[in-house]
Amino acid sequence: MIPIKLYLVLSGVLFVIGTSGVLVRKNVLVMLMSVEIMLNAVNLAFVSFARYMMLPKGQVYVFFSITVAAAEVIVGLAIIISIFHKKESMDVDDMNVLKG
Amino acid sequence: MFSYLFMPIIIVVFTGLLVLLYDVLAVNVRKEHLLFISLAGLIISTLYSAILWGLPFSFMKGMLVSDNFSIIFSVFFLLSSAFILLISYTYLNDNNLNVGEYYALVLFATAGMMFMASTFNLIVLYLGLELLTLPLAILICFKKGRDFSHEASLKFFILSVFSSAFFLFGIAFMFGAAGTINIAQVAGDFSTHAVISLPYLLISAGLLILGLGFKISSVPFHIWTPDVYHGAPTPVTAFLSAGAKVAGFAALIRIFFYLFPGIHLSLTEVFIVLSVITMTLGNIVAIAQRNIKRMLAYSSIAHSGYVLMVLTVFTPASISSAIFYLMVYVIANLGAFGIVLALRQKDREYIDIMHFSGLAWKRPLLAGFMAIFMLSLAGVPPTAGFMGKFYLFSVTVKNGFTGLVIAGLINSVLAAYYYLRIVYLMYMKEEKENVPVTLFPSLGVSLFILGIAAIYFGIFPSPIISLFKTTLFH
Repeated sequence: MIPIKLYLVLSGVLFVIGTSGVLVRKNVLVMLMSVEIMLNAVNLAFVSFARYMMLPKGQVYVFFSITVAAAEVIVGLAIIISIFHKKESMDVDDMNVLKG
Repeated sequence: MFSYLFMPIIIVVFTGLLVLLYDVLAVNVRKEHLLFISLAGLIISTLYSAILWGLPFSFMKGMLVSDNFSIIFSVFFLLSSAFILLISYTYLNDNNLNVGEYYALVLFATAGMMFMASTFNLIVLYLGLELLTLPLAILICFKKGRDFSHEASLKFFILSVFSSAFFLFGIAFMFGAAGTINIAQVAGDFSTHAVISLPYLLISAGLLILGLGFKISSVPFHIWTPDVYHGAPTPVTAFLSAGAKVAGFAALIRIFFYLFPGIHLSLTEVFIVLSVITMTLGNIVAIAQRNIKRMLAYSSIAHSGYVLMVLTVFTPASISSAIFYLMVYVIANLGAFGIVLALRQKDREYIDIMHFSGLAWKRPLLAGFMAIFMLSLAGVPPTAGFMGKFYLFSVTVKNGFTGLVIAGLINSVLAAYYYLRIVYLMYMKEEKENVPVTLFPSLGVSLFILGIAAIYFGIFPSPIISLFKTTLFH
């Protein structure tokens, strides 16, 4: 049997890839996709823990997570589309009216 | 038979749906009716929560609980949402935003906050968090045709889902550590020395703090706050600074009070560092702000720092002082945003701090209330803010963190500068530009109630503090 650590390493690597995608990439759509990678890394962690401990409820939590991710994508795409109508751009560097 | 436990949340959700339906189906929709329906729902739900006081209940192994802690926070959320609706009414009319969706989204977000405060199950907490975040993202870009409101919404959205991913990862590690994500059960297992993997639990704690740090805008994760507060429509900014932040604290207290009595030592330092840098950065940057909304954004960051100060040790005394401080902060902040909403004509807003010059000569009552709210945020007696800070600092000293209190006091002095600058401008300066004032009945009434509350809790704080102290954890 493959040890749990390997699954967690994979999940962690995916999570880091997603995180760096959000932090580094400039395209809003790619940032949204990176967030999805992060959420899927979490799902992988949930499922592998559930399998490792033989607790099926861990897999049920994944359903909640998937549902929320779908809702997030809907709202996110709606916001991105309304920005695109206005600016004809998806680059975060063009979104510089507000300066933190 | 458990259904009445759900009632406060159910009422809020159904009121939201009812408002939506009414807006779509009714012939001749009267905009006042939308407000009345939503307010009625919020008030009925508040009364229902009050009935449940002192009757602790737990449903499905803590997936939904109703204890005094959750009721205090629910009432808190319901009332602040009611005030938000009251202060936003004419603003919505003037900007052509007065549609059922606005009320429905505020109500759904309120339901999300109530879920966050009334559960032991982390996945339910996560769902509540998302139910709060997604309506907020929509509300922030509610004002069509403004560049920066969309930009603010996008920033808020990306950083929120980013931070909730961390939060969810924390939940996954909690599950891996203990085999359950029920906080009370994990805590019970921990005290009976059942098999719990400590490294996983610590990773989980770190990720949970990171995820919630975004919500309460504590410092390394505060970057979104000023931009979003500036870009959002003003009533939504008030909602963000009042309800959304308090919900983050409710979740933080719920998780860490119940979960980490055993492994405090390793987390105390984390909260000390977060607290000091949060309040210092918030206060220093707030001094430089010319825009009142950005100033209040940095001030709200600083106030998170003060509350984190007392959360270094999770005892009943610290929790009740934190809740009292949050209540005081919300009262003053809602009032301040209410005044910002009053300085406006139609859809043009006057949000530079110089626009407050000479307000006292033109509208003495309005300026008086603004002075009360500013003094309360600064923590000057006899306002509620002073009692909140006093109680917070004295509990921190009792917890043994005198250095932290000294940092807090220095920060209060810094903060007094930019709050009192507004008071100074209002009373000591000549009016430069003719700033119109739009005051309407519902805003006036809410400002009056908030102003009275800000004074009342400063003079008679003991009943409510002893209420928190004696009944919070029974």
